[in-house]
Amino acid sequence: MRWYVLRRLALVPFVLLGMTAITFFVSQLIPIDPVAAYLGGRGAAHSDEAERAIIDALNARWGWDKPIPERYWIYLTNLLQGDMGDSSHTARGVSTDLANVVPPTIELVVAALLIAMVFGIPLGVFAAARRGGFWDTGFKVISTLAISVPVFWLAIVGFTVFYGRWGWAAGPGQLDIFTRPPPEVTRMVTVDSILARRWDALFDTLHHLAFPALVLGLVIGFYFARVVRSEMVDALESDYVRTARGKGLRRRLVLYRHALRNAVIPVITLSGLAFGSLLIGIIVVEPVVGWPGLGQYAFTAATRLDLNAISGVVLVISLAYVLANLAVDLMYTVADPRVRDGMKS
Amino acid sequence: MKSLSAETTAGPAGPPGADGHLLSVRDLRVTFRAKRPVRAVNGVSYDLAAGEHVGLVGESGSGKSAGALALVRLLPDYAELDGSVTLAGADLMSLSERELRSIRGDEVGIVYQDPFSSLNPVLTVGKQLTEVVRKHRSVGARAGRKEAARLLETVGVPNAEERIADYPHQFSGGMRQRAVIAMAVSPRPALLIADEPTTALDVTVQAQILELLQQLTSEHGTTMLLITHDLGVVAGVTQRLMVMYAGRIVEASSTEDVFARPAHPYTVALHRSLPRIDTRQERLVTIEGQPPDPSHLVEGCPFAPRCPSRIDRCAVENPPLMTLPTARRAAAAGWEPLAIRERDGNPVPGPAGPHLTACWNPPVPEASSTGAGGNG
Repeated sequence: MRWYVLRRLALVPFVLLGMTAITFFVSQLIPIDPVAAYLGGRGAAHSDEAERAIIDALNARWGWDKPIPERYWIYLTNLLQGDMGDSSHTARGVSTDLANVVPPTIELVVAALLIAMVFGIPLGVFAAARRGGFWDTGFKVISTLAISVPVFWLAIVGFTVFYGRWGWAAGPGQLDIFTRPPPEVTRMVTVDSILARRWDALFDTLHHLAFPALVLGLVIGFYFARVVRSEMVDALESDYVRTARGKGLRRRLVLYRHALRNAVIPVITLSGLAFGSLLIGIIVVEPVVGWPGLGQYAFTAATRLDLNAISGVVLVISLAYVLANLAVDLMYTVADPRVRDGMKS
Repeated sequence: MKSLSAETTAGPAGPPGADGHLLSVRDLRVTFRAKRPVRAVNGVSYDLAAGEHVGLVGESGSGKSAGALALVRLLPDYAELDGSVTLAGADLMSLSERELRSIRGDEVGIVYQDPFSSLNPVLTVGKQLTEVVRKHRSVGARAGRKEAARLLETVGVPNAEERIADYPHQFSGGMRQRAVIAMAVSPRPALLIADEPTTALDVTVQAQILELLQQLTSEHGTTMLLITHDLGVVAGVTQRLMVMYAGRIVEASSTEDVFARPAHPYTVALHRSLPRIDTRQERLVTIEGQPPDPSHLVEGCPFAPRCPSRIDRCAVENPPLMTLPTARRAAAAGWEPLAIRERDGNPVPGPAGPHLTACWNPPVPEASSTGAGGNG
């Protein structure tokens, strides 16, 4: 078991190396001069001579005039020292930017996954227990709708209605402008508020978190619910559930202890996949609601051809994805004793 | 296996129900809803007395498992049940699901066919045992676990104290079945339904499991309904046999009678298909043909197409369950079901009941070459 984890962790650097290679070489395929992309609008404002000097300075620092393999080598050695280059749209180091935008996104992703599970799993059980009935049919219709609605549309319409018209949802950002932020420790405002016992700030940031987390969480939650439902239907027809009913156990025990314990195992795999779709979801939802996270950063970087920032975002997302999959495999061993024993041998 | 002995002849002992029977089943029907409804059980009636061990024999698809699980309504939603089931005076067909919960497990224990799928793979054996113990009487978690370990020990699982922490996949098939048996007998049920308890197990383990069932049920005077397709299994364990074919009981009598004087061609064929040691056989004997498709209604006796002693009447009229002397004369005399009923009453397989058969032309005992079965 421990060896399994170590072996998986040892693979992480190689996966990341592969990711850097892919993002680096793919971004070289973009028919654009990296210097021009870096300077963007600023480039044209200077005289030829001044521009030459800037270009030379940039080339001297990043080696943008060197052949591609050499540039990759320079990129890698810089990366190992924590230097991902500067972002052209924030004019700060990409690593500094990422340290600021990743914590809010972790909050959002965790909140969305929690909502999806807390809401989706019982809903799936509910529908499965009433299979073929009125509620089950209603569930099928609504969940199909919920899954087919594009997240960005849901975010825009929802935000317009719930924030713009009714004012139930909080506005952009993580806190109201009148709320004094808690001291920065983890840069996750919820955690920092708890650490500083600032309940007003905690309440305020949860209010801000609620809307984007609900938008992302509900869509994934319906997805979870559908899988739980079909797994529960299978489990309820299984021999071991018949055994449990034959013992005369209460319905709740049969449903939750016997059937659901088996039906949630595929949900673990699904959360890994859902994690991937969440990372896409944040890129479309965060800019809409003004959540200052990785998604918004990635969105801006992509629209402004901020190549360094894009590479940094891709790297962070791949790292998150690899770790999430490792976590999924580990959770499997907790949920399914048969897998646990399979790994011992 | 023990051999049949005289003292095991059935007799109603201690009448818990109104009519002196522990269990009375009348005209039980099970239909699985489908495009073409599957009639798994077509009007089965029988009585069980307290403490007796009765075998229900038939090939796969004859409706024996469906009929047994229907007793406590443990079938999927798409099964429609009809008829009446009375257990110790309680009408199980009219009880609510909630009331039925106190019957299941507590009054009726069930041992299932496949111990590889009947235990929950993600819960420890101890947990699955403890929940039975704790349902039956209110004990704490610790006492429940202790009782679970004790139960596991009584069914012959070594190192029970440690093994209750194991998951089912860490148990062998025989051990799993022992655990299932422990769950079934722990609340001391009045009736134990053993649904093909040895079918999925190795031959060497089969005998041990049967012996365990025999021992546990005898100890507590538990009634056992032993369902099997294997005549060898019921021979040493049961006092009475009921043979099922196509959802009906086609022969019923004491185990001795059914083995020594089978009175239905299907039973004779079942005997023939048992491999024998004492005569040299070139090939195993099989029953020609297939059992009827339960989603098709057939006219006449469902066994007729496969029957060696078929007569003309078999193709048009399904024989009712008759006493043997009636059956021998009925076809020849051309009796109508009404006349047969007048003579026999309405015979229901029960303790100390007569030898019953549902055949217009019952085989003559001398003609059948079978002796007293596997180990009689």
